[in-house]
Amino acid sequence: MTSAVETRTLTRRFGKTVALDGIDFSARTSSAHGLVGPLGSGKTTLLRILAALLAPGGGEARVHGLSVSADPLAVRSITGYVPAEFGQYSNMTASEYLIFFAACHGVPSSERDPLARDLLQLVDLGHRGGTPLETLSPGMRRRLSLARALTHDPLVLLLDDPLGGLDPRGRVEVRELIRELRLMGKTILITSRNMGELEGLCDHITLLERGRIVATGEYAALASRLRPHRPMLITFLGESDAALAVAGSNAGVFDARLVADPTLAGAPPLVSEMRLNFDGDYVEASALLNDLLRAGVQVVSFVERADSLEAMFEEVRDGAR
Amino acid sequence: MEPDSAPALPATSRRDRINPLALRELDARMRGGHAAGLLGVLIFVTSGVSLLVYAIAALVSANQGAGASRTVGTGVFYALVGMQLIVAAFAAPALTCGAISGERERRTFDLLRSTALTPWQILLSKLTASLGFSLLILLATLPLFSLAFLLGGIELSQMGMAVCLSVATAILFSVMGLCASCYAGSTVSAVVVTYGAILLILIGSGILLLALTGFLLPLTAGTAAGGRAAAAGESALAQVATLGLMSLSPISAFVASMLNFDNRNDMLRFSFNPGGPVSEPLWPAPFVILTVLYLFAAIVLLFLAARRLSRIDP
Repeated sequence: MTSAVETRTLTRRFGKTVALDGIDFSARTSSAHGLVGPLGSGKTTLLRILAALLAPGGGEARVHGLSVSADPLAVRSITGYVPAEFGQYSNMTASEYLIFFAACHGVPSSERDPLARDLLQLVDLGHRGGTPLETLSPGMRRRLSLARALTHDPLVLLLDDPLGGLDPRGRVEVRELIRELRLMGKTILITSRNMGELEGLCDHITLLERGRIVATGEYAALASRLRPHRPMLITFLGESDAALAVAGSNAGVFDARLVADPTLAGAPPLVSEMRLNFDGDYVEASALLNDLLRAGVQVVSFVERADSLEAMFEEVRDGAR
Repeated sequence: MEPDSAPALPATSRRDRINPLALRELDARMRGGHAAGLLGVLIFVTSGVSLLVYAIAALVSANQGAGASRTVGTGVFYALVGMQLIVAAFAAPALTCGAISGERERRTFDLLRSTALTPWQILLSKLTASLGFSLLILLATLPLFSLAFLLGGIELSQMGMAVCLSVATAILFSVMGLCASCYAGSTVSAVVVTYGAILLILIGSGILLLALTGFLLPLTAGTAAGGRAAAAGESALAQVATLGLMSLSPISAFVASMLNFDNRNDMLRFSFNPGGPVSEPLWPAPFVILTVLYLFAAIVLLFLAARRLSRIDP
């Protein structure tokens, strides 16, 4: 499979601040690649360079073989850039917005109306074509922004924090839309500060910190390499001795410990929490749960810790420093 | 909110050839009551000023007999041209100062740049819409000049000169605003830079002109001092400097061209000593120099603005 996006020792400075420091990066055609890092890690800078909106300070960046420095117009014609903030004109409806940008991309006038209708349908805004932009919700704006980026049918989509600032419903809608775009064969680059957001969306992840790549690879492989065990959280009723005994006897369990949470203490039945690292697959996890139940532990919940991906990133970042 | 359907816009092949940004800008600039209201207010104010000048000139020249009408006509003409120059110098750049910086502030600049539009197309779209509206204002006040013609004292060539000055001024100052908008970080900065430069041109050149003519070359045609300066052969450089300064500001260019026409009845050629010998050197009239100078400066500034937008990291 060929690389849709490729950078070689890409650097960029803003004054004395190093935004990108020799980035070697590539994303395969028709893949979804996540760029994860905290604020100031260089995600947006990398995306804007790939959109030919920002000049590289050094090194090289290519999109489908086209140099962003030498041929910015050609690069722009095959990329669709969605910035983190929604840029809008006043006195414009959602439909007019798409028709305007389709015209700016050179779409023939006879095709603009049907194209706008199709794109609005795609992003589930078919009923909002005549709605003024100012009255759209943040989630709707984000979806309209994605539709705008598709007006010229680009090969590569560059999405800057598409899920940021959205309510849960908006996130679900945008995630669904991104999955649809993946099915359409687009190469998608997504930035996020929250690695967990990209789970299930991206097959590749690159972790950035202070303009450098600290880890990159397939999502599952990267997760497995960086954290071979699963951080689990088990909540149960009653005393903790039996639970600790079961956990201690399981070869795949490390670092099992009870967590003192004052909000869980109180009148009987006593609620306890146990945190542990588990080195095993889902079948073995299921067996552990069965062992707990057989030992009489009244399990309330048995989950992989939600913050595990963020914790993983923190560990990687700390290791890179 | 009630769900509504996408409005169907008429699609014609002619639209393919029109720059969509220019179309949108013109639409935004001209559509609605705002543009019509602004146009109406400006025409109303210009008419009011003309009538005021008419009344004052009529009172002052009441005892001039047959020449009174010409004096009043000239006065009204000066007032109308003054109003046009004010519009060209101050209203026209106001429409372009936020052209590019406003796009940045709305977060739409990157979206525009990521389309197939070239920097020149973006610039010319903005300029066309803004300048189009400024020229519309100038055009709308032209019928008021019929009052001056009716009263007499004004010739068509003088009218042509006034139109040249107004249009050249509107073009240059609009482009100045556009260029500042490309380079400035915000619309406020662009406004400050543009109007600072305009005031420098209008007031600075006037002060320099007064200083120069007061000390080096008495401007009054046919005066003993002017004659002496010419005779001594020391005035050529001073004349060039004076003419250059007169041609920097549309106000001084207009007044000098009017006075020259009154003395020589020649609109295109200018003399510092109209009563002198035939061999007296003739220069292009200040308004001609200004028009050429302003259009040249506008082209240079447009190139600078395009250069700025062409960089992929503005």
